[in-house]
Amino acid sequence: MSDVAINMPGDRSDDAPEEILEGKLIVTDPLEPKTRWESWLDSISDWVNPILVKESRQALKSRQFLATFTLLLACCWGWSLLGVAIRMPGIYYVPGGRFMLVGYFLILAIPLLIIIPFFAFRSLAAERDDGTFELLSISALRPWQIITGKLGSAALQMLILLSVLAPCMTFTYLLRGVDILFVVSILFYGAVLCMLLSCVGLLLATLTRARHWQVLISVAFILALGLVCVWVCFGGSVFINQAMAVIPFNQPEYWVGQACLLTAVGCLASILLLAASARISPRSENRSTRLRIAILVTHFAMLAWFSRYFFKFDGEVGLIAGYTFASTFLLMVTGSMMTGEDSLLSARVRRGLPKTTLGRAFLMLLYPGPGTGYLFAAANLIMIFVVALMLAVSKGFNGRNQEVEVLNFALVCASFGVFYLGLNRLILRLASRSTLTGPVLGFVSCVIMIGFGCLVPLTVQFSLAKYIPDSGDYTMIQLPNLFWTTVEVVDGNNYAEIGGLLHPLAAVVFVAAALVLLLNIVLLPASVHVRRVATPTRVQQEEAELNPQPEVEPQRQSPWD
Amino acid sequence: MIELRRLHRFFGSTRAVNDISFEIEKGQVFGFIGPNGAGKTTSMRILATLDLPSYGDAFVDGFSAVNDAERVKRRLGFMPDAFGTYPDVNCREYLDFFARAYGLVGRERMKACQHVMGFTGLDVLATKPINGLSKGMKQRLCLGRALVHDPSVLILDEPAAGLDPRARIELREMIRELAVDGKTVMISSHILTELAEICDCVGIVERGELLAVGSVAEMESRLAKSASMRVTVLDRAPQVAEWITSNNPDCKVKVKVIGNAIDFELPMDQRSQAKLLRGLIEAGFDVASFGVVDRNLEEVFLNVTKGRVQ
Repeated sequence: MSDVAINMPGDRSDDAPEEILEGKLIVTDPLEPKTRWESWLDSISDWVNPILVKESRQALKSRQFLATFTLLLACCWGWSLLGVAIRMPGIYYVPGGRFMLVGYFLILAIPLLIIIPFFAFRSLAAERDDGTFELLSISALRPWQIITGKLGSAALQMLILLSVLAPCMTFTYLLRGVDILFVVSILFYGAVLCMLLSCVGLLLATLTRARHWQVLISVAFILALGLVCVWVCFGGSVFINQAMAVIPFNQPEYWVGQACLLTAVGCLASILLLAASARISPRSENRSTRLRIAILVTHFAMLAWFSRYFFKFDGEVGLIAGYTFASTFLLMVTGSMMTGEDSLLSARVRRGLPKTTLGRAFLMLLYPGPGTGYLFAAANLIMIFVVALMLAVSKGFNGRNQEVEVLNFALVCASFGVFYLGLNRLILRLASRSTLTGPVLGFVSCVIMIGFGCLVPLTVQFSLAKYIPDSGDYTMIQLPNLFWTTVEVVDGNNYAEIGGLLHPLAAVVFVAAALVLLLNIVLLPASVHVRRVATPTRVQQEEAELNPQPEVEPQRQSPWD
Repeated sequence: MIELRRLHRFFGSTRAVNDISFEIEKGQVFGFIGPNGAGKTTSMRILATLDLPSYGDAFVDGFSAVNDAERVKRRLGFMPDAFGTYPDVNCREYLDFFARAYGLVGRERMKACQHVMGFTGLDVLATKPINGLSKGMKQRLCLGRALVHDPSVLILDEPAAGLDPRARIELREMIRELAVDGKTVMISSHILTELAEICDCVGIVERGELLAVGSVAEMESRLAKSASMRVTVLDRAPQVAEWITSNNPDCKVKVKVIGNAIDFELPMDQRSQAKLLRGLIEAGFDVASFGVVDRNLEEVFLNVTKGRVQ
């Protein structure tokens, strides 16, 4: 520690801790632990994300947090007094817990569903606006740590705010009329929704660095949060008043359902966080593999849960349709972003490519690049149809109209996915020659293309209305129209009348998708066949220095050695 | 220690960095100079792993800033020209955060923070909020942040910009100390006289191109086709100037008279200088002093650059 004070008149902090020792001014470190308790806490903090430590310190001094905390406390106390006053004197003999809980729920909804998610959004966006993000980027913190640190900070604020409500919840329980499990469930799902919205906020904060877009996103996000809050407040109040009696806490199936719900939330949150982390990673890093694994895990989780309920409900085909719809939606959204990825792989990424032929065959689709991204999405989409078919067959497929419909639905969904993503990839390939592509551009171009695919045939058909009899009916012009064609395939067709299992429209869409897939495979060999590069000698040297190999004992040359 | 190899960075049609290559040895202080928009900051940002080159690469201790960014970050301390601070955070907490961010733990972290606070003179301002610091103190804090993980390479982008003379001198002293400690320092600045005092080597860039690189003395001698001479006489300075112009056809640059001193340019040939001195004395002028005027970095800079901007 330095014992030299710099003589800067007027610059010295008034509260700088100091002491005089043998005539010298000794400035003591304000963060140096003084007690064993502080030392213990300090050593614990070494294991915590640095951003969480810093933001906790900031929050303890920030006016925004203090104001939120005080306001929440005041509102809780106010509602406690007001609620009791409203229910008097019946509160002594009529259960009033549910009534009070609705009030606390509404009070809690605003910080949980608006303030904390927006805080998470601003916290990351402000790092970029204020120029501190670059300082974080050049530190040893990885993008994933930055994102989780921000989320952890939001979680900590949420826990502190929830702790304000703990005595109120006890009070609610004492007033009777609510189950403790019900109260805990309400708080738990409030917290889960808060974290999910915070994940959305973190991803939105990474979308752009341009000031005007940031402002636009801020406004849109806060409006969306307001809508969610209103919806949750309304739905939650109704739920608290009416659903409590029917929630079967004592049945195992209820808890299985909760596990299913939490799996969905967990998968979605991990995709959002990994996407946010990828957005702030340098272009030379591998930003795709983790994200693709998360998408794959989500797809398999969906498959597992839908299969479970399919077999539980004795082959309910609606569940196949549900699985098809959910997984196609997931893969269309993520796939469109993957097709917009940068086609140039840095040497660093190519260093990490699989070494073996088997590895290349199975793992190549997890590596970055628009070509592999498209093939990854296409493989998953094909899997949707295969799974739908297998599920139908496993329950004894007997050619019922409903079964055929759902299989055609799965085929059309998968085919449209492969078709539109493939077209998107081809268009972006052309665009990449003149401009920088990216996942956001990929998504936007896919949405525009699907929009055109729907609107142009509709416009054409309606403008030719006088030449086409029954112009309100489906015609072949509508073939690129994803929604109408799917509805046409599923509804209003008696397959027995058509006389086959495969709907002609589904067959046409399938052929178109196959052609686009083939065209992509033919045109994009370079993006799939990427060569692995050797690790530089300097990196190998350092690796050897950091992880020295254990010395091998010299082999015995003779029995006397 | 630092190597820029055929570094290019294009922003649309603008060539911010256009084929820059040079090396800086361990323990050297390298001055990176050039007019605004010359590509200094862009090159430094690429080296600091904050940007990617359009072509070429930058290396720190043999590691590529593009492909081994993590290894480069561990070895590098970067002080940008403009940097942000956090609200509701004091100096000590700021440094503690970055020490944690660089993976320092426990006593090691505590020691590192105390060391840089002592080195930068911030220990007496430990609990002062950053927003209340003067520009000079903020620069010290940023230097402290760049030093907290004890990097072997320091990149300082305009560290003296906006500082008062005292703060500039203190900063210069700190950089000198760092160089004595064996750290490789790359520094960009507009205050060329200061750079000349602390730099072992300088590189001059303009419009993204490296125009010259080497030690200040080397560049002076390389660029000097003629010597700047000054003669001081006791009286009759205008006549001396006239005599020099008429008797020396080699003297191409116009002669300037400042009081009793006459400045002019002669070829670097020492023989012609001796001949001129002899001629002056034989012509009866009272020569008080006669000699070559040292060029400084500013002159070298003006000689090398053409004032082009992009």
